[in-house]
Amino acid sequence: MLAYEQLDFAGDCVMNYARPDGMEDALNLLADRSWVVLAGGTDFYPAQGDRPLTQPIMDISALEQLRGIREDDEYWHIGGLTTWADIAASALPPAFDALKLAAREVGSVQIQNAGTVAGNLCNASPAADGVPPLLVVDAEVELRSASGVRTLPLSEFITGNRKTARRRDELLVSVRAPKASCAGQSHFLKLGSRRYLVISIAMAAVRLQATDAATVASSGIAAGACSEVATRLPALEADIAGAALDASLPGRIGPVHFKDLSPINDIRGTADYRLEAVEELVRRAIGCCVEKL
Amino acid sequence: MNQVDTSPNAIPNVNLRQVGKNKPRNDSPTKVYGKAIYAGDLIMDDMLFAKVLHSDRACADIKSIDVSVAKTLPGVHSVLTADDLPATNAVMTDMPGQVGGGTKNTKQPILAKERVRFYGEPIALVAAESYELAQRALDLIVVDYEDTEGVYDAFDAQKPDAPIVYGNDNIVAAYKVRKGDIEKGFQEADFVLENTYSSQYQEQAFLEPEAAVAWVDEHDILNIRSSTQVVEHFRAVADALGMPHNKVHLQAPYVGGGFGGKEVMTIEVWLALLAMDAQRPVKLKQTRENSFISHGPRHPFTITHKTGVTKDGKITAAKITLTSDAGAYAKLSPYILLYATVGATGPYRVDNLWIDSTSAATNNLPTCAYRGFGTMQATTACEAQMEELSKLIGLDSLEFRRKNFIQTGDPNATGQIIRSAVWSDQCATKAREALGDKPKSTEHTVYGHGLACYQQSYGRIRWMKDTSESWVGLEMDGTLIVRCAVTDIGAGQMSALAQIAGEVLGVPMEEITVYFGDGHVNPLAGTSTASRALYMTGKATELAAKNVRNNLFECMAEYFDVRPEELDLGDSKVFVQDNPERCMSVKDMAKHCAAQGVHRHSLEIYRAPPSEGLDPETGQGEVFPDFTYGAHAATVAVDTDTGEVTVIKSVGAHDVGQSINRQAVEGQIEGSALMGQGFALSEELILEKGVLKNGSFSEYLIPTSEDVPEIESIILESRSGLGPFGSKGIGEPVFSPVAASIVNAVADAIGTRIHHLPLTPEKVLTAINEEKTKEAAE
Repeated sequence: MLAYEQLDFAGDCVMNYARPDGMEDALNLLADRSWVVLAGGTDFYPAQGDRPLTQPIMDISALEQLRGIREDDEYWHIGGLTTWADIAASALPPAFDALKLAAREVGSVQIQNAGTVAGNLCNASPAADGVPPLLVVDAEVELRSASGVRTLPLSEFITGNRKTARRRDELLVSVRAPKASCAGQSHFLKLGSRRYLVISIAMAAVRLQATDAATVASSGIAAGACSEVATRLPALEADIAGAALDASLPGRIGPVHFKDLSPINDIRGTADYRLEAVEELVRRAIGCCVEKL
Repeated sequence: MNQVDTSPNAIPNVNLRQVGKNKPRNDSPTKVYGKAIYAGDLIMDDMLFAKVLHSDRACADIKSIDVSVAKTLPGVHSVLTADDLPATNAVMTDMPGQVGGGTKNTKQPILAKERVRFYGEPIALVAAESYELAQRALDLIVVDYEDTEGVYDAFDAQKPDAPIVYGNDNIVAAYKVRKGDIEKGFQEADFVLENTYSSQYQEQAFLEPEAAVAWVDEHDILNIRSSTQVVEHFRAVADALGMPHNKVHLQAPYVGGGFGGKEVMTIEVWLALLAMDAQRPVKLKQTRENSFISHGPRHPFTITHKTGVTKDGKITAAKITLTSDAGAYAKLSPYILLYATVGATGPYRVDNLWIDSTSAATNNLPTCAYRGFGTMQATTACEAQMEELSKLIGLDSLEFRRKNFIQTGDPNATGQIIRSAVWSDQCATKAREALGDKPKSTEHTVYGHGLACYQQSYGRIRWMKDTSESWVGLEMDGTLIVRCAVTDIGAGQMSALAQIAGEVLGVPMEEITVYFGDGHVNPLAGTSTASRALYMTGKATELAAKNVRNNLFECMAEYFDVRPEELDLGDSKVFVQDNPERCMSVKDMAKHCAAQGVHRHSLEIYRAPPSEGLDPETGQGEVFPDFTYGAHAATVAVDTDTGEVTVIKSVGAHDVGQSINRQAVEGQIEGSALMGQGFALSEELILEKGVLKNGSFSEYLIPTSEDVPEIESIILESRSGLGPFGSKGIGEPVFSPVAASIVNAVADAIGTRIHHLPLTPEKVLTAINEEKTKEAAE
């Protein structure tokens, strides 16, 4: 067992801090007690403000094996510590163009250099930019603990606003997408009250795959910031299956395809506006994919 | 792009060597190299760190405050509540600076005692060995609140049964203007149009949140080094602590922006109390989140215009009501309301005029000074009404404005005769020309052009008898020193004084040393507010430099055996105008004059023109020294399916009188283009029952670099202003019309007007959809 450091501030502020450099050490520590897992820190530090750190913190930034993108016969693998800047600069296929566009929308460039894919998913904000583009490639998350590994579809991993299925002894080590779902072209659009550095009012990710006859072979379409958890739109995907891939495609989209969304009214926008906007975003994202195919 | 002077009162075109030239500012190198020291950068031995407990509710009685546990925390050196303060527990929140009187003496509690009246009201102060410890101490303070019924709307606050926020009623200030015959004016009108416009809270969002260090020195002087627009706050700090004025020394280093948010005292008095109590240096740098509640944001205004016009476009009458939300304490609300009242008719002549204006207390955030100071809100409403009127009578909107612009010699709303040049027409014409043709609509996008004009004062209210002093001296080696306690809040205040003194005395500005921002070492110069810093301190510096020049010329005339008026100074030389070969370097001149015992220094005062106030029944009188006129124009693109607005081009055209530093003028125009864009489109503090819901930069949306349009600055120079070399104030003026021009451009693009700002994508889409429904019904 790796010893961890106890930092003693003046007075009675005490916290535990660990920065394991091996996976086994990290998982053993996690099995031992509850930790706040710190990766890029881009959500953690702003929320902390000037408050003293009192909770045990495990900084996983030394686990370098968790950073990077690789492929095997079946999957594309994105390590949990892969940053948004890594994603944007990667050679992932066009089905990940949506993810790359989202990577350029996560906070500022500084945030993109530090913030990680795993952090974005584990933070589980309803407005997380990274989630819809991963949903459209049927992404799964790999959760590792001292007692083993399990894999969950992303759609089951995030269970609610700021809630995930991660057990406290688990690390999200990687995100993977089956290669069968990584075909075709993709696009991502988000709407905010300014161009950049803005929390989404609504967002849309679309992936379209074409048949030789220029019809829709398969699709993945997801909406973000319009429900507690970003979600695929299966009714819409079913309706456009086999449709001609031309300028008429966006016209097939209607309010009926968005009736299962449950957006909220908040300071960024009303539920009605979100529904109206996300429909338009999906229509445009589909149009962009059609142009690329 | 300078205009030929047409003003009857203009100063003749002088041959300027430095003023108005495109020279880099003197403060640029230290800032570019990161050497400039700001208030929060200072580190002292034994320094403590402060935190403030802010109320987390808007309206409540305080049953008790328990600080006993917080006080026992090791490393905590001072914990103060209202019970520990001088019995008066009050700090002045009125017009600060070198104003001589005529103020209303507004005050507010330093710390809340039995009651909190707004979200964020300070309750307790802590100084400890670190910010983390101070925060821990704050967390250990127990405040027992009992929520009470508050009032959160300026109109509700005026109802008979409204809870009283403080004092006898909720009316903070009221003005009326009665001029001409309003009934007759409306009878002469062919059309009468009535509209109500309202605007929101806006946060100053300066780059540098409030920061200061306070310490007691070996002479028992309380020193404060603070990020402030006003070094004269030493008086208010001294009064609050019951100390003599000469025992408090306030310095302002470079300030990372103010925009009015650092005009009324922010954190200085808290630090003074902690430093006196702990007898150790204490530092406080507000977090961005706390900064949102540590100064007053812009007043929301509701403004109703009822305007009569003839069919050929002449305004015959206007009836205007203005209501502002002053929040829980008065601060500068009465004056901001006065500015809005004077500005209600914009740069237009209205002979039959009726204005009622009211500022009401609520349990919302106390609102205060913000660039534009009420005039901006009034301009935004007035210019919307002008656009609607021109649409109603079917006249081009600039043509309509031309028929109504105030001209030199005309009276404004309060009957003040305008004596400087009024180049509204020239500015508006140039701004609109610069926009070019409107792009053609596409599938999702429509485009609009918008224009707005304004009349914005510079200099402070005349019955306050504002003054500014400056000292200019020629050293024995021929170098120049300026001493002037102006605060440099980022607009180039310091650098401008070097340029002015250098112009008069023929020395390059980059060789001049300016001591600024320290009111106990340098002559007091008054505030960097009210677009007065350049006007007042520049004028005082010009006068002082001219005194020195006269003294030198008297001596040198004897040397060259000519009359003093035959001499000139330039390129670091004194010379005979008709025979420049006969010359002497400034260096040798300084030595020569020193040997003759010539007085090479001068301390000079500039007094703004005074007046004795307004007639309370008619609202007639002289309120301001003078006004700046100009225009802003914008092109926008509107996404018709999402409601997103993109500003494509933004053009400011202003008669600045005389630009002192061209880059600084352009900087003001460009900065205001973005600040006004934020106000028009995305910025709004959202309060729910007084509680701030978006007090952070992730939810309060100022424009970013990605939102910057093409910006063009057109500078016109009538040389008719009261400032040095005929300059006018520009800091606020160039900002006032920006939002109005963008709002008008959006109305032009979508064919309908949104009456409440900001124009968020959601509001724009709703308006587009309503317009479509209306058209379908027709």
